[in-house]
Amino acid sequence: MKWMKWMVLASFAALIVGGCTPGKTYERRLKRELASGIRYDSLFMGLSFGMTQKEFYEHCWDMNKDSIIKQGSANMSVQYDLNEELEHPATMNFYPKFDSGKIVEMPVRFIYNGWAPWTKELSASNLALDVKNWYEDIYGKGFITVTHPMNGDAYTKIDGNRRITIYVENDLYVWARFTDMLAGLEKDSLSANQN
Amino acid sequence: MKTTDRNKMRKSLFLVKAIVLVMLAAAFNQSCTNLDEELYGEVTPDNFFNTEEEILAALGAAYTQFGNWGSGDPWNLNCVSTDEMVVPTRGQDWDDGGDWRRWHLHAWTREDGGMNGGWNFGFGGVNTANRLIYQFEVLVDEGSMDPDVAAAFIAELRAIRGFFYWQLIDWFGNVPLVTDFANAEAQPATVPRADVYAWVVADLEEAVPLLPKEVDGTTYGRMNYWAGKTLLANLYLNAEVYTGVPAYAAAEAACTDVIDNGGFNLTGNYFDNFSAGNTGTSEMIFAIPYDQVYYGGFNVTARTLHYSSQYTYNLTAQPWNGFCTLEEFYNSYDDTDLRKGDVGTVDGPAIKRGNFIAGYQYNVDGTPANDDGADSNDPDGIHLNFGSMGSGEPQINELGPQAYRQAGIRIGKWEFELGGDPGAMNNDYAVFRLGDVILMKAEALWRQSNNPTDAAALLLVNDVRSRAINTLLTTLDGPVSFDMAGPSVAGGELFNEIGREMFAENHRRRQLVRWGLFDAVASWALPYNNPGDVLVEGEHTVLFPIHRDKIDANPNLVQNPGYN
Repeated sequence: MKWMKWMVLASFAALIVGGCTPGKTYERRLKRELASGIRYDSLFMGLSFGMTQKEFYEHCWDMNKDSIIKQGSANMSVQYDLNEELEHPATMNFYPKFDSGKIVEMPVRFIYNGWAPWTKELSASNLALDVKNWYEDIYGKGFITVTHPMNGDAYTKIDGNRRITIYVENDLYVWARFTDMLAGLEKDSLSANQN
Repeated sequence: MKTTDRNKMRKSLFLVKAIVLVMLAAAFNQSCTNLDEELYGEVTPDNFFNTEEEILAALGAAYTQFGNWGSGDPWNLNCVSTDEMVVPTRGQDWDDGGDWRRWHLHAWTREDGGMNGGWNFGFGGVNTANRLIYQFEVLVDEGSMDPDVAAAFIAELRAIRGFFYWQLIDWFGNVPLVTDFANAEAQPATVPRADVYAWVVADLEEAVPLLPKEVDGTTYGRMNYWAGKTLLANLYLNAEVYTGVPAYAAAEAACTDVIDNGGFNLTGNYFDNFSAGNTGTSEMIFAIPYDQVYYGGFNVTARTLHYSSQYTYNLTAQPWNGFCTLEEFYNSYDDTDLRKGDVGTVDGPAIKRGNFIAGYQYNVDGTPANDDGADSNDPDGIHLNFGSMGSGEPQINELGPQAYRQAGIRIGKWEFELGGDPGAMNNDYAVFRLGDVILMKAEALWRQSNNPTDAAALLLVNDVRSRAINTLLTTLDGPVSFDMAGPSVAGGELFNEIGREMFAENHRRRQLVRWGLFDAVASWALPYNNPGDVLVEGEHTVLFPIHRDKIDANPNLVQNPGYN
């Protein structure tokens, strides 16, 4: 009991005190992009920020009928098979976050299909780099590397209101998170720094 | 367990959830903006956890993989492949390239994503445990971690690793045996199932005695001694399947230890174990503390309920109208069995909660729940009626392609909270609970005595059964649930009783395999009319295929028979 209390408090403290110091490059870019007034709402596969829940379902329904996507393997998301886009066959699962009925964030989880503990070239670390390179082809150059004390490195890119962050969850999975920075959902200290 | 202890447990459980929050916060935290360019790297001593708080938080990472147990591919592998659950194709809903129909028809292939999901679940857990064990050992060697502290954590991680290896050999049979993170082979070969079993059991027999025996908030949701013993009991109970050599006496002994010494008690009300507030019931041995905020992912509400059910429970989002149970399985419950629950009628909703949601449905205000998109030829019309109850029609007209939108009785075992989020439920999910252990012991006794009226086994079965139904079993033999008009089967009624009690708790596949019934799929398969769908029978289906992508990445893996 005591050790658990201590563990929780210490862990929060580690996150708060030991967290990364805001970097000037990131802040500068964020400030510049938000001030630009340009909106970048497009995500992927015809999805975009601001789509209503109904529009999202209908669009996914159409893609499902066309066998482009299917129910995610964890029964919680939409699945798309990446056969050519990355260095190795992979799977991406996504399901948006809605605020006031509209898409404001899109977390996307990736895994190399051939992943196993012994296939180091298919590690999540390599996958993150692979996803970043693929996204540079789609969304353009400009990803910067940020470091997290527990989850290693992450890549982030900001275009207008759209921030894309790519990071490793664990040995298997990589996340790409599209966030509408003007949607009021962002709660981290970065947005607070801009106010 | 004393009430005061349970109260203490409940009070301290926020800490468990807070730990999960810390882990998730760490995983999702994006506030870091150190802009030094660094390449992603493998684990090195430089990026080990350096502080005690990091060590403790890292241990929690070994548990995150369990999050898929109640909702992801493990559930599909263990439940949807059996006679207790099905996901019909309702027009264009739940087609998904035929994935769900193949689960039901045992027609899975080496290219089905679920095979990758199961493999990733197992080896993801194994790899995380191996990595943390390695890192703790290095810290001890460096003198920066107390060896006694490390030993306790490492024992816990070995038990966690044993759990994931149990599932791997259960699903795939022969699998690589990887026990060392730092010195793992680049392309390890598959190891015979019996050899993996022997290694895992030996490792657990050594590690489990080192685990804490406390049952309180410090061990809830973690692998303590009793969870480790229950894991061992499961391995022993299935030893004959895994190795050809039975270990029922060992299973009995492990169960006896948990029953007699663990301090657990059957809850008076079966459904206390599945309520939204089920944290820390007296029956929980090892649970996943799902939580809408801190530990999301348990979403049976979304998966099973109809779109219109949103207004029955005032859910924050629309459910997906997918999973349901099969008619024969539902009918294997006596009408007086409390676990079956009531049926909604044209006069009003069901009153008593059960493992199932059956019959006519109503909105929270008492008005009929209507399905405005009901199939024009559905004899039930628009008033939502799960399973066509009272109509004389089959509960599910077909597997696909045109199963009615209302077809099938739904899964109601876990309480749906009014106003809840169907995609992130608050109910904890029992990985191991006492009711299961008692039934395991009964089975172990019966398999040793081979006596259908084994008094000790019957006493145990009826101990669990009697909280749900007044009529007690007098024999363990009988027709099995998917063929009640068929011949008596040795242990058939025991098989049915375990099924009724453990419905949808990741048990059914192993039961069917132990009884030699898993490949009797033709006995429970629904009519299937999708072009190209086939029913696959044969002993080879007892094991799942290793996914093609895994084989492609490691040529030393040997595919299971029947899947090349």
